[in-house]
Amino acid sequence: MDGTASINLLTFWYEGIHLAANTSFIDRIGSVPTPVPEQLEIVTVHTILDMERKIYQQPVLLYLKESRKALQVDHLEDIIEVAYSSLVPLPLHIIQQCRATVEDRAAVCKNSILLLLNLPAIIGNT
Amino acid sequence: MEQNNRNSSSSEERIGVCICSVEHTYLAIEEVYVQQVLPIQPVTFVPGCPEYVRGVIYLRGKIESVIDPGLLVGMPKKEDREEGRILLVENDSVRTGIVFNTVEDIVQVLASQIEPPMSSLSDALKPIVIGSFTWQNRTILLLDIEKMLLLIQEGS
Repeated sequence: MDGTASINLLTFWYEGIHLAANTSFIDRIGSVPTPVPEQLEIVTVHTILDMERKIYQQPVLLYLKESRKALQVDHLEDIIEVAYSSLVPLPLHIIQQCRATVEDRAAVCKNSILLLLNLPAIIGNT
Repeated sequence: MEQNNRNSSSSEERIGVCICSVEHTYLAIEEVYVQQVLPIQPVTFVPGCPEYVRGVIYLRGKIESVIDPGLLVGMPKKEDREEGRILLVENDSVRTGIVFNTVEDIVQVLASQIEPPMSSLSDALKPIVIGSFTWQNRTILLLDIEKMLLLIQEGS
């Protein structure tokens, strides 16, 4: 991340994990189109996290900037603005072990740790 | 880091240890490594980490990892207890929380009382135990925290 003073985060939950997506990497939000266009690559949260798939009750697509990919999440919770300086580093050994699924810094809201999905890595992976 | 006095020739030298338990196994950690004892609390799971990493907690402005020592050495996962504790341990390179079922006591042990690891020790525990001693008629296994923290740092 650069030296931007604040960032906006879209928050949502997956299987008890509080997650966030930095809106600076998101072009737009939409529902899952039917049929899914051939040029659109939908990446699900459970795939990124390497977790068991569950039924998405209210699937939402986060179309990623400069990418044909869209991240499918379930039921967006909120959008919050946080100061970049308020993000707290994860322990180095955790970052090294979690295979770049989340950013190296997390947001803390009301003592709850919000993990930021590593969207640049998602965009970069083909 | 302060060197423990275990290798000193004086048999009267004492080592402060924190005695904890995981199920029916009693373990000791040299108190020089123990930064804090915390009550058991919800841990934020971090996807992609090894199974022995329970997750992370937020503690006074910092995010700390929490590990399960049993899972680190390949023992079966056990449920947390209400009286469980998280010991925050640290060396020069790594700091992490370690979950225990109980924290029994902090005692001073004579260096001469610490015996080599028993040959009957399970293969799972051998890599992280450097000795044992008797306390209240129980065998207490002295953990090699440096080795444990190295395993954590290397993601083993």
